[in-house]
Amino acid sequence: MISAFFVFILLGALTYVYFSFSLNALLLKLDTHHIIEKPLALIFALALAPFISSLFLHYLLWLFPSQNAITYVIIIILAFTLILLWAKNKIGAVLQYISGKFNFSVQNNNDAQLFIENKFFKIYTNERILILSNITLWSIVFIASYYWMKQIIGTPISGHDMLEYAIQAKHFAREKLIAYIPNRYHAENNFFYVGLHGFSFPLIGTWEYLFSEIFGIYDNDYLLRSVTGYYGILILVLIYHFIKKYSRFYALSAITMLFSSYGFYLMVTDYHIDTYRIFMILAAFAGLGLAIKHPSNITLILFGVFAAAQAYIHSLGVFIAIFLSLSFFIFYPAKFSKKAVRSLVLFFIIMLFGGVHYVMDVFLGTGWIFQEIKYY
Amino acid sequence: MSNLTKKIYLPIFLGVILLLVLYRIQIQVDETVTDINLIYRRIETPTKLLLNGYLGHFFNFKYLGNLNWLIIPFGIYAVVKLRFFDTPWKKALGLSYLLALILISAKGYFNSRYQLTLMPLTLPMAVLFVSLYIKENNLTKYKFQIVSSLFLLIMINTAVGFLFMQQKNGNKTVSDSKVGLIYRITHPFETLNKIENKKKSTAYPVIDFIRSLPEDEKVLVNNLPMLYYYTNKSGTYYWCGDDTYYTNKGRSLLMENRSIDEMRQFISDTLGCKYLLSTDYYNQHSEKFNAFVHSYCKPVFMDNGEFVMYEIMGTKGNYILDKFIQALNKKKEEGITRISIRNADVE
Repeated sequence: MISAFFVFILLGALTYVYFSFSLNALLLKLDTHHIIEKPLALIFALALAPFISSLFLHYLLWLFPSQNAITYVIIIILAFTLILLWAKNKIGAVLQYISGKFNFSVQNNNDAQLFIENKFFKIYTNERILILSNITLWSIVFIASYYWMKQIIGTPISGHDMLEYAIQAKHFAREKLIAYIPNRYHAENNFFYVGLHGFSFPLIGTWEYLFSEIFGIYDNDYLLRSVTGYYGILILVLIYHFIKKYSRFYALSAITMLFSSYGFYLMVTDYHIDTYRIFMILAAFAGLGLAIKHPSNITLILFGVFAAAQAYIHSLGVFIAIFLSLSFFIFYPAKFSKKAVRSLVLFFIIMLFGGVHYVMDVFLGTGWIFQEIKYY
Repeated sequence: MSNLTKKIYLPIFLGVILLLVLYRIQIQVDETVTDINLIYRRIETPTKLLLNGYLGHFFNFKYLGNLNWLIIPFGIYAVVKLRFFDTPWKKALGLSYLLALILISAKGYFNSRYQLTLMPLTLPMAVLFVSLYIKENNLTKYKFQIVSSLFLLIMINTAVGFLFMQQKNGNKTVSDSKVGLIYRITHPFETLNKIENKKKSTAYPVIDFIRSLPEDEKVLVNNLPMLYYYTNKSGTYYWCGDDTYYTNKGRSLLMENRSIDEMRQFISDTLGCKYLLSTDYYNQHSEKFNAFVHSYCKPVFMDNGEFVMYEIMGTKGNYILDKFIQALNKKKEEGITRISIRNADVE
């Protein structure tokens, strides 16, 4: 019998690597004016892969319920494969960029320069120090990955909120159905889902359950566990990417301080939805900046997708999406009519990429926030 | 006053004074307040409500670190003196940030997780604004010292936070294996087997106890969803803090218009629950529910997470947890990490 952990490795490679690869190629293809820098496109693709998987699954379970697990899995893999085939002329560019990142030579690693940028280190500047710093940086990556895997393997899901999401994930997978009903009650065990937020996070768990079901495994939750650390690392990478434009020294300082704060450390090490939703909020802010700084279809789409993502993950994000859209409307550099059209397009993108969930939930489902809210 | 004094020593001096005042407020305790929710969230006094609650994004030191507030003075400096927000995209980001911050402060003040939302934006921006201050005032040669001091400051604060965490968790989580990384790599099959075995167990010994109960016996679950995740048991989901239980008809109130005796009858006969899964801490969220637990719920199992299984009894008694807690503490002192206290251990 295939081990649950092996299935997770397979699924992780599929979701985090193959799907991200497809989306990276897609982003490069859509970016005809070369606005999005390659590292940023890679970060965005890595972040979007699990989200888009969950979104596909939402539409499938909502519009085509009660199919076999294998049907859903094949459709999703096929969707990402079609994306990759459509963007096949960018596969080379993605591979070239990624292989460049694995070139460990000092000359090719700008980050190694960081260690000599500061005066404090200048007296030690020589080739050995550069090599040492290079090794240090890759050691950090190795240690972070080791602790991430150790956490996934050794720490079962716990905590009220995380358990709620995980249970809901399991029920979606068992019932193979997303229905908009007033009470999210499951007769099988009397469980009542009290969460208000969109289903993106639980659906990552559902994706794992469905995939594992093909192999005869019914209680796999490694992928769901991995989400917290995965997006925690991506948050640090995204911040580093933007601040390094000002200074690599301050970029490294900022992410070190962030990681050293008690709350952020807990956020990354304690399974929860937070790193997932917060990464998407940061990406939506980045998307807003790009959409206004470089008005184009790709920046508008990216902004819309991230604004939708952070809303679909967590209810707080709905309000943040409204604020971001308002800022977009006010500061978009165009005449009123064009602003209005672009804002309307933005609205449709947000609806398509998750916003529609809340419309359905308000009118046909639980009422979302238009009910008496209980805090747990 | 020399230029250096004005640009470095004075801000540092003022910063230290401010931090001392803020820490002084943080450690104040109002013993007249009994609401455990407010005490847990450290917003039990008006000043703490303002600092850890509404302005928690900047001043909730324990959870969000002690550097976020730097964005206020250095942000103002960047806006007023450096005209940082000079382009539409920066203005758009600034406006969105402010609106989100106001919303989170007004509506999410009670929850540190909500306060954390903008932190990965606030802290790096604070560092960026500090860097602009350093550059603008020709202090670049001190940048390593300044940044190191800030790093030291946040590390000290975090170290205090970890002490809190250790106290809170006690002996809760200890690795059951001393085998190192090299061993794991060189023994892949043994490692894989261990992973598989680990997966079958849960973080909670109480779950093993629940699994051992007859399948058809239902449990009243006081806000502990682990029962639904780790077992196939059926239960009624309830939260005594809001007195709300959930069924296929939606939400209903359990204690309203019911005496403690009627509550017992309703839970046993109508909801069909024979057991209660809760914690002593959770029970205290409602005085009446706590009284019901003491009157009708006999503790039968307790684990190191202090999760308790109670059997709901037919006759009134005076059921207390004291013996379980004593046995638990004794085992903790012995260094045992995965603790299961059963009825037989205390009788």
